[in-house]
Amino acid sequence: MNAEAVLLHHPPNESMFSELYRGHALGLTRLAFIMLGDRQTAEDVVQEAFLGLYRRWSALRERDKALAYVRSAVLNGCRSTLRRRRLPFASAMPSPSAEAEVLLDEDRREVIEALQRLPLRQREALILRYFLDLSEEEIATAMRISRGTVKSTTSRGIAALGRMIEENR
Amino acid sequence: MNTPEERLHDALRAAGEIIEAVPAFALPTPRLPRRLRRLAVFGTITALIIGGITFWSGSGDKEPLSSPALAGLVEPGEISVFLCVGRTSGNPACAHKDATAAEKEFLKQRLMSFPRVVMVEYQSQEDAFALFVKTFRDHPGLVAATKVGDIPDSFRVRLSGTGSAEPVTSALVGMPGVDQVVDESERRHN
Repeated sequence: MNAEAVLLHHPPNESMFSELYRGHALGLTRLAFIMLGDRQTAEDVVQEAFLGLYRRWSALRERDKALAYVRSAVLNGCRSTLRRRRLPFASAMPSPSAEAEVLLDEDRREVIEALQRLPLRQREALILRYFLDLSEEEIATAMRISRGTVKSTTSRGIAALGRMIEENR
Repeated sequence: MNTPEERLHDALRAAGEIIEAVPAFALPTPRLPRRLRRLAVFGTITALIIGGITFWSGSGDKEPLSSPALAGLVEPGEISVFLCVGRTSGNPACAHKDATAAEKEFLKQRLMSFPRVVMVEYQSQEDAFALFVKTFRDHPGLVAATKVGDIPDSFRVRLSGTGSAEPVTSALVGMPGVDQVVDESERRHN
């Protein structure tokens, strides 16, 4: 019996798994979309993260643990996608938020563009804070950094963002 | 709304809302190569959803369409307007393209302009797939070989009164974005 067959015979607690998926897949896909700029890759990253959760279900049965796992997995998926794009031939890949920039009005586009120019960790912290509305504690868990680092990363990020937006005035 | 925090919050929300929905979670199944699975499943689903043919009877006889297997998928007294899905629609008018948002909106407006139409409900590909999974939960092989997009999105349209649905169905056939129009009540009485 191969691994997939085992999974099919011992599926996770379906209602809790699908509740997590229903409750969080959209928000996480939006987060990945903001990070990566194209919806297909964002969907793939999130599917992959939930697949990872599905496979690790026995260890992650508690709701909070499962949610923390899947958030971290989405961030990791985004990071490795962004790393891949820096490799040769990456110019064929969509630029960050290409789709978002077409669809947003000028004010918001300016903010998203400024956000894309921030260092990756600051961008992550700001998106977790201002898009997912996570607490410092939750951001620390998702990014696997300390609460102190969350605080400093977020405040540096928002200050830099503010400066960039100001410059354009 | 002037602070960078407020502007960021607002811009992120707007950028996120570009994504309106996510596909249902699908566990990959390695049993058949993808292309074979797709081939195997297309005929089945098309037969089940569009043609209303009972697949599980085995004998090949037509069962009544109120059979338990189809109960979740077909509501009484309805027209279903199946929309073009680039990957799966066989209708050449679809030109292998998804119905656009504008086409869907136009179709919805057109449907609601008929006095007899009392309800128009959009059933997304995700909803259709979820219903499919629920309906065929006892057939894991079929569910595993199916994914979002295999079952087209549609408008579920309810008519008042008992007259023929024909004026509504014939007005919709051939409109941009429409794959097939099915009169569910007719299908039931056949």
